Amino acid sequence: MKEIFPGIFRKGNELYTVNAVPGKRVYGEKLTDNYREWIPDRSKLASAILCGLKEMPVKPGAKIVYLGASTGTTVSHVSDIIGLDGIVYAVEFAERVMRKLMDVAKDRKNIVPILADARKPEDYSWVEECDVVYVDVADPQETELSLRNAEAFLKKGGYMLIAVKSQSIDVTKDPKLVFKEESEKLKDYKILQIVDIDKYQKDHALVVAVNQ
Amino acid sequence: MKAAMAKCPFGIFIFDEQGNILASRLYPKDPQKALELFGEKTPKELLDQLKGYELKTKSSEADSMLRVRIREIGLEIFGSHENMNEFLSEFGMAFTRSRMKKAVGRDNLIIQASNALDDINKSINLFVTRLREWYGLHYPELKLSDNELIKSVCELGARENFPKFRSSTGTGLVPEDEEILMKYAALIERMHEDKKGLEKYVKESVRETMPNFSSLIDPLLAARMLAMAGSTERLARMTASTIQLLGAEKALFRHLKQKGKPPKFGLIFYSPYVQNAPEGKRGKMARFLASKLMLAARIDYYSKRDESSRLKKELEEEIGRVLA
Repeated sequence: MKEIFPGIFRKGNELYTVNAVPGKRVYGEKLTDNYREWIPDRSKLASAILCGLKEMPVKPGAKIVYLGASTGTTVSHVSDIIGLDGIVYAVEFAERVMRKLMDVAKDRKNIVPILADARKPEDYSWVEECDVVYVDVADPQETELSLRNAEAFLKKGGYMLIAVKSQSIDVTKDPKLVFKEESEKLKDYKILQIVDIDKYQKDHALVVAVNQ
Repeated sequence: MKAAMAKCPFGIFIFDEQGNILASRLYPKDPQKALELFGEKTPKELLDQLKGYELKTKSSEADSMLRVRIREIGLEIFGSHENMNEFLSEFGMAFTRSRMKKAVGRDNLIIQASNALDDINKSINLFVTRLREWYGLHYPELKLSDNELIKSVCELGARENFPKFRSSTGTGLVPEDEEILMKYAALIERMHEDKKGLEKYVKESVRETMPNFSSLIDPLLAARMLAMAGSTERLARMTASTIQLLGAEKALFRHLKQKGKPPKFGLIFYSPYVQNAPEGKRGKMARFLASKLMLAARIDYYSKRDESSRLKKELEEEIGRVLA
């Protein structure tokens, strides 16, 4: 097993993080020693790593605003990586999945669950300034809401990671065109990479941009 | 002089225009208590310290001034990132928990009941098909509707007990065969009874929570539309065109991908207003009905007045004009 980014390990085509809650599974993943498998089919961030992500801003001690936290699959791995000195503000709008997310957060003291609409950052304005804004919401206005959240919470030099689902932006357009148009909206940011993760998540890409 | 206020899980902070902290009040280190104070109005003694200032209580500038200092403030209070993060995590839990309680309403119960009704209908169909096939081995000549079949097998049992029975090419039944068949039919009969009770409950609850909406459309259909929308609030926020196509999502997206014709109606088709209209006018009817349903859903959710007779009258007038 090789550490490819701080706190992230790779063995062949499998990814692992160090389980912050030894012996406990979050979503049926494999546990080996104190490592927890990070399944790319279940997590866009994991897919991006396997599809050639060059820079990984989610690292030990990082402060992260995570929009669209869902049941906490990816959030749990983010929690593993950042450790207890880091913090992840996990924003999710749907109550059904929030219950599951709260169960995950109960064992992990670096997850702050927030039931709120990511389109309205003023609704959770008490969140601190962060190093990363990670966005995974299936909304036609995803890029716009990412910008609004980044403006509020992202520090200078901080990273924005946006998992874009071309189907949610416009079902009629070609995915490649959608990714291009969406990244053009980020003109005040420097786009470092657009990782095509179609291999694991159909018609998805992860846009990595930095706040200059 | 101007001042602006911002709140965070650690307390209330008031800034001057240069970003200096003029006054502050820290919350206790208990996340639950902190959340309670977080939701309350600004205490008077804090405001008294700011005589002579023009105070803005909601300010995005102050929010961002505070945001960059939260770490620093928290570290001073808690001593380490770890302890500070633990407090924030628990604050988030309490914040979320207090919002969750409010979010579940009566409409969620109705949605579950309506879905249960769909399930039970599907199950009855499945069971009747099995009964027909099973009993058909014994009496293949019997031609009865589903309900009659259930009732007859349940009450009469073997074919010899049917008043009209003459002869049959089917196989005979020993008493054990007959008994188990009758029991199975009785089970379906009971499901039928339970279904009626469930239907009555759904109808009555929908009429209570959505009096206007359910006056324009069959209450059971109203319940299914509510289930598709997710809540009375989401239904109230829908445009008429979305309501018109509730239940036709597959056809709509097929159309949007430039394959196929656009759908004219979803669940709304089952309304007699639409279904009984002449073929060329159905789309128009669906449009009228949907726009009235949209109004009704908003009245039901926001003002809760009963305007059903007015809405119904207006709708029928419009429809009458088109059909005339």
